[in-house]
This record gives sequence, C-alpha cells and structure tokens, in this order.
Amino acid sequence: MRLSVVPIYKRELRAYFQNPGVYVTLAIFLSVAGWFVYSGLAWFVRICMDRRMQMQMGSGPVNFTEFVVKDTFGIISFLFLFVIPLLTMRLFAEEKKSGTFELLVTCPVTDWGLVLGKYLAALSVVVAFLMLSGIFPLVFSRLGDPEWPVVGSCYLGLLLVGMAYVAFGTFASTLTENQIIAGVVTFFGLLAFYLVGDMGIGGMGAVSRVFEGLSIRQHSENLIRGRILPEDITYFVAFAVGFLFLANNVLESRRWRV
Amino acid sequence: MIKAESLTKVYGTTTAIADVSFDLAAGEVLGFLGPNGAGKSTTMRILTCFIQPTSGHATVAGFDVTTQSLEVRRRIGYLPEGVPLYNDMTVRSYLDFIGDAKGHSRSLRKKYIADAMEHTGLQSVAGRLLGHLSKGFRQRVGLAQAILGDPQVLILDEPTIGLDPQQVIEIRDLIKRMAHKRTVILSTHILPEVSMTCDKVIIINQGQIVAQGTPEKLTSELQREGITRVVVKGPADDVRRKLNAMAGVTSVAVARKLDGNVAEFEVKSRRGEDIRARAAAGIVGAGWELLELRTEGMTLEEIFLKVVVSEKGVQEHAA
Repeated sequence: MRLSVVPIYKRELRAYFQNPGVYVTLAIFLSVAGWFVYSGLAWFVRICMDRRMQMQMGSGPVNFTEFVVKDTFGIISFLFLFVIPLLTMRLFAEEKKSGTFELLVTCPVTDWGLVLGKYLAALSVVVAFLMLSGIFPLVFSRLGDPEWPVVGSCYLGLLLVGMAYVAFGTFASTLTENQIIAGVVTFFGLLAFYLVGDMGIGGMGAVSRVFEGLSIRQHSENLIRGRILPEDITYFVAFAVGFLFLANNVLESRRWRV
Repeated sequence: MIKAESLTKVYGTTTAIADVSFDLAAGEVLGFLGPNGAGKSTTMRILTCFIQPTSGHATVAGFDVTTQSLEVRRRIGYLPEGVPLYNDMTVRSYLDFIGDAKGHSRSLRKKYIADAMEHTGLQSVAGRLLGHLSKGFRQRVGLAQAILGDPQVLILDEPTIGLDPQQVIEIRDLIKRMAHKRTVILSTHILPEVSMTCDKVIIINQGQIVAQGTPEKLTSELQREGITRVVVKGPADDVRRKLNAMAGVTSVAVARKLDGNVAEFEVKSRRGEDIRARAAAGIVGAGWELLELRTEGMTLEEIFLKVVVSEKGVQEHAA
C-alpha cells in the first residue's frame, strides 16, 4: 500500500524553509548555544590558569572534553526543549486552522503518510540545526583537544533526543487547531519528561527508579558522557514510536468522533 | 455512481443530517440546495470520507466511504467550502503537490497540471503565490486542484460563493463544460445556479431532504396552482366576472391597468388545469379583444421558498 510519505514530506520541508520563523529560531538557538560555549571556554581557561599555578604543587592537566564539550551538548539538549516545540507546533494545528487539513485528508493519502511525512520533515530541520551546530566542535578542535568519540556519542544522543521531542511535538499538534496550545503542551510535556527523574528523589527506591527510567535527562546523560547503552537508545526510539502511534490514532479518531 | 442510503450524522445533541438518501448515475450533475446550515457540507464531507456517518451507508463508484476510503478518495476531486489553500505556495507548485498527493507520476502530473490550468484559465498566474491571488482566482485554483487528474467524481461545496457576477458566470460555464464527462455534486444556496447547471436537485433543510428530482419535475410537482396572465381590452369588471365563472378557475385579480380600457388579469387555476383555450374562447366570444395570454411557471426560487421557508411545506414534503 502506498503511504504517500514523500509528497507530504517534500511540501512540509519546503514550508519550513520558506518560513522566516525557522530562521529566527535557528539564529536564537545558535546564539544562545554559542554564548554558552564561549562562557564555557572562558571558564575552562580560568581553571587552566589556576591549575597551572597549582601544578607546581602536583595536580594533573585539565580535561578539555570533560569541561567544555560535554557542557556544550548538555546545553544544546536543554535548548531543544524550547526550539523543538516552536518547530513542531504548526505541523497539524496550522492546517486544521486554515482548513487545508480537510483538503489534505480527502486526498488519497494515508494517516501514516501524513504523520510520517510531517514528522520526518520536522526532524530534518532539527538535523539541519544539529549540522550547523557542528561549528562548535570545529572551534573546539582549534582550541583544544576534544575526544572525538565522545563528540560522536553526543551527536547520537542529540539525534535521539530530537527524534523523541519531534514525535511528541507532532502528537501535540494533532490535538488542537491552536498552534500556541500545541507549542505549550509540547514544551510542558517535554519539560515533565525532562524533570521526572528528580521527582522520585527522597521517595521509595522502586518509585524513584521508575521516575528515573522515564526521564529524558537520565537517558541522555549517558550519551553525553560518551557511553552508548542499548537501553538508552531503546528508550528514545520507543518514546518516538509511541507518540507517533498516538498521533496516528488522533488523526484516525476524527472519522468516528462525534 | 454515487449512492447514499439513509445517511445520518449526529454531533453531540444536534443532528446535522437525518436519513439522507439519493442515487446518482454516472455523468449526472446533482445540485444540493438549502439554506446555510442545512447539512449540505456535512453530506459532502461524508461522501469525501472526511467524516464518517453516525449511521447509514454511502458508496462512490461502488466503494464504501467508510471501509474503502482510500479507493473512494482516489476517484474524487473535492473543493471544500471556502477553498482552503497554502498561501505560501505558488499556483504551479501547489497543483504539483496535489497531483503528487493524488499519486500521479511526475510526467503525468505535468500533463494534468497543464490541462487543469487551461480549463480554469490559470496560466497567467502560474507563478504567483496563492496568498496574493484574488478570490476569483483562488476559487479557480480550488477547482483546478479538484479536476486535476480527471477524477470520475467532482464534489464542489459552494463553488461560486463570494464571487462577482462575471466570475460566477465563468465558474458556472466551467462546471458545465466539465459536467457530463464526470459525475458532479455541487452545493449552493443560489437558486438560478441549480436550474442552470444541474440535472437533478435535492432541496435540503434542517438536515432532511425535503424534495428531490429534476428541476422540471420539482416545478410541476410543487406547483399547486397554475397562474395565467391575460391582457384584455374590455370592461375590466365584466371581464373579471366572466373569467371567474370559468371551470377550474380559483381566483381572478386585476394585476395592472393599462391605457384605454386595457387591463392585465392574473388568473389562478387548479393544478393540472389548462384554462388557456377556455379563457381565449370566452373572451373572444364576448366580443372583447384578447391582447395577450400566457401561463406562468413557478420558478425554482418560489418552490424553494415554499418548501424551505414555510414549516407547513417542510412537513408536507418530508412525509
């Protein structure tokens, strides 16, 4: 059966690149990340100088990756909480509001074609953002000596986080015809998944383990440290697939909903 | 080609349509006529698989709209009410996207787009952004995407709403040209549109079909009295009395007094009675001059008002 992912994907991607809001988001994303990179580097330099004075008393050299690279990727994954809702909120909400949704779903395209086409287009934009953030590792390689496998693991982590966030945002956008609501639901929903690991603190062991298991931050931390664990990859893939299924169900529900 | 069997759609506590049934053969043009909110759009949305009926069945080209929705959608060109378009696309790229979504290959698409643009006169604006087009052109783009790929069935929701008279005429001509090769359903609340373009009319009000048939059939069925206009030169009172006494005549009124003893009479008669021969013979026999004699059919407009506006009409014809 023909899903019609490709036509939807192509149109959606074109709409992204014609949308000035995307460029504004990109500019803010890179500026904020760049500012954190800069302050991270400044901090690193100060520590290096402190250590150099202490080295005469016998402490080792400072690890560049530990201090700068990991922080940078931690910041980017945090910024995704703000950036991705802005990118995904329009996916379905805009079409529902303007009425183009009716024309779209009366074309011979499947609901999965719609969900996947739009999801992949938004994910492509996120990947484009990530590729542009490659400027930071380039800067690092000139200033210090980053551990490239860790950088690779960080990018894998960001890709997985992006997949999960975009899936959640796609789902939220199917729920409403109001883009603002879709964006707010995405932001607070993701924030909840981000912080849920801390909610178990002080609770019983089993409860706090469940909360930690659900937490986005818990699972991305390993990847940022350069540890690629199957359970983390499974978590993000399952998160994405689960919310895409929900998005598809919401679309299907319009047929029988009263 | 299109068959609807007691379609019913209930939203919460309001019934949008109730027990809507009709049958449309290939090549026919059906006009849905009704005031705003009568259920025209709901019926069309069911046929295009946008929503599912609460109960009842409908098939398009033999495929069920609920269980074989993809097959139905492959055969339909749909113009939704209000012509929703992506304002950030050009006419050509939009039509290309629709062709792509309909599953046509690149080479076929090229040909289909050229055809559709030619039919709708869009060549001059092919590279313009949809958001910058006038309402008339947007409507044409909506029609172009509906006819793209030559679907068997066209479903057009209010295709001429909000256009200026010249554009209305153009769009109507377009629909007439496209009809008969295809099966067309269009909705409107403008009456002349139906008598001009449709083979079959369904009058729908408050979610129920109140009358259906050919425009001619509706006219003759719903006409409960005949009206004959007679212009006579002679003493008005005597003429009126004479006409009133004739068999089949229910009432006579002087519609207009003209110069020099000439008057126009409006003669109402029972349905199915043709009183023209009798009236002519009577007037001439009395020695007056018969200047004009014509029967007046009821316009669709009057039927519509009769059926839709009066509650009595609704009850009588729903039964």
